[in-house]
Amino acid sequence: MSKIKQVRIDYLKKNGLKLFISIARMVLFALLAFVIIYPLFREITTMFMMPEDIYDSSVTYIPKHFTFDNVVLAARLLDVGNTYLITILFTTTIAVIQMLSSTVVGYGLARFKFKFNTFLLVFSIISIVLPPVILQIPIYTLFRNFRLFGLIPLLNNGEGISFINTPIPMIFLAIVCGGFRCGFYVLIMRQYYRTMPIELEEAAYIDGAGPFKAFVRVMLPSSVTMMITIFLFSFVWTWLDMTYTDLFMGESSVISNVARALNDIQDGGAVDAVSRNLIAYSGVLFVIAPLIVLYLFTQKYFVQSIERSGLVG
Amino acid sequence: MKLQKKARNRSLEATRRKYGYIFTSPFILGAIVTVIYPIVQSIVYSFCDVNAKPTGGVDLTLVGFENYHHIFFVDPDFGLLLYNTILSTLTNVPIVVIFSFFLASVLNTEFKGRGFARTILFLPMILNSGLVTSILVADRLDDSVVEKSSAEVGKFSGAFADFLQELNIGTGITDLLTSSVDNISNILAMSVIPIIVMLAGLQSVSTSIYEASYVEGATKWEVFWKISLPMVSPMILVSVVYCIIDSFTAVGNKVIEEVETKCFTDYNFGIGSAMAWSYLLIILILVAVVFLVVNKRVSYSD
Repeated sequence: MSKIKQVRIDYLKKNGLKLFISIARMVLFALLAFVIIYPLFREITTMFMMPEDIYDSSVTYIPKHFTFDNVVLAARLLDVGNTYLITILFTTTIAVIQMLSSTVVGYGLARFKFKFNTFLLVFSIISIVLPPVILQIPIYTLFRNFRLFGLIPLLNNGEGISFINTPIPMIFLAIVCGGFRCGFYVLIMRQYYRTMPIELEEAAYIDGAGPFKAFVRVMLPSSVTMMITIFLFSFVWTWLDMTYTDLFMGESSVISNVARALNDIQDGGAVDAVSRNLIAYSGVLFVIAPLIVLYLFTQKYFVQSIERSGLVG
Repeated sequence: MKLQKKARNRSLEATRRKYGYIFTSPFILGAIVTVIYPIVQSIVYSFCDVNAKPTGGVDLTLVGFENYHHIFFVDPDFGLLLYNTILSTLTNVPIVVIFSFFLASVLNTEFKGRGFARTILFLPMILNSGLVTSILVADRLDDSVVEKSSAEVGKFSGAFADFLQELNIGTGITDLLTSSVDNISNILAMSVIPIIVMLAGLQSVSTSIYEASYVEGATKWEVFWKISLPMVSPMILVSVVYCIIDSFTAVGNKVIEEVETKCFTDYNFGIGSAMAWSYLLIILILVAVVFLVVNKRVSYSD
């Protein structure tokens, strides 16, 4: 009899703790969700309001004059279809290149000992710390008047080539890990590969693989989670980047350029401040929506399923 | 003689070194173009009086340490800005790192609504970005709109203050709640990247290690301290470095804004470079100290 009682108490103790933890977890995330979502919620409800509702103090969340006008107008001003196409193409290219180059460089820094190893690690950190102002001018002048040690002016009547308003500077920076916060990706990959057991590669070497084959066949498959993380960061930051896109591709219709123009809508004075505000609100939703969709797809890769093949204990 | 040299060249170490250069070659080029060249230029500028020529290009007059003397002893704001930035970094970074490691550990466990929780925590990365705030902040100059739309995205305090005002509780309580919530949302915004990095780190730990330790009779507590923490420690180091840098260079950082004003509004590249350069040096020293201290406690497998 007492034994059954004991078992019941143990059961309650165990499950009570579990219940407590899950409730605490729920409360925590509910609070965080409230802090994060509430402004977004306000913005979404405001999106569907007419200007009258803004002045109406009885309207808080639910618009009295429900309208899609702001959304439609913002979509038209942003030229959503075209802009999305260009931006997705551009951003994906940059993100994939950054992901690959930082993976390769990070692997090189983690696994091989050579003279400039530490220097390069320090440089990868410096490249994130440097204020963009310092970086902008020299790199801009480099691409504004691209001379390649005076070789190009010889062929081009003494003039350099300007690569401004082409994707070339951004792609070049992505390849050499010099893009926005690319040094951070290198640092992530370097740290990650240093946690990988070296035995895996040694096994590959014994089986006759060279460093490249060992890297592509053994190390790369096991670092998918990290690569997706870097792809995500790179995509989001390139998508939202103003500094580099404005500097190198100021005239192209990528979304960061187009969306900022929403602030300056005048429409011959026909658009008043409130309508402009409403349109800008709707515009922001168009800017962030694809990123949220992307994250919903990538976050499921953050699961404990990546097995390091061949590793036991 | 020749043969001996050849043999030495072929030694394993030399080959490894060669592959090291090959793998890092993109970044070697990148470091020269995007780090060394701008740094050298900014150092040169910082010791000069810089005047842009109408034809393009710049006139440089060497002035020695005058620019540095100016920013530290003449300029009344710069020292204070620097002090405030360093202070807020030193207080925020430990909180952010511990908070994000905690959240990453929670998000790594199995529970209902995990995908939702992860998505929510990712949002501040987008909502606090320069682009989104720049679109919205410009509108807020119009007073007529502010009353309704102080729900500035990302900056939670405005919307939350509205919400509390609608509830009609005293201003004292409203202020207290607003400021503490504003701190939380700041820390949340800083934590996004560390959370994702640590989460990815936690996920890369092989399940077989956990299985082995549970078979050996380890408790969850022991597994956390003896396996999870050491295995993620390299990523914790990354997060610490990131947090420091982020807090020094984030959008709206006063020192960076000051540098930009000096460079692009006043066209005083000399002073601007001197500011940027001394700022950079301070950040680097701080990062180096933290890196060396933390790196000793990080466990690498090689």
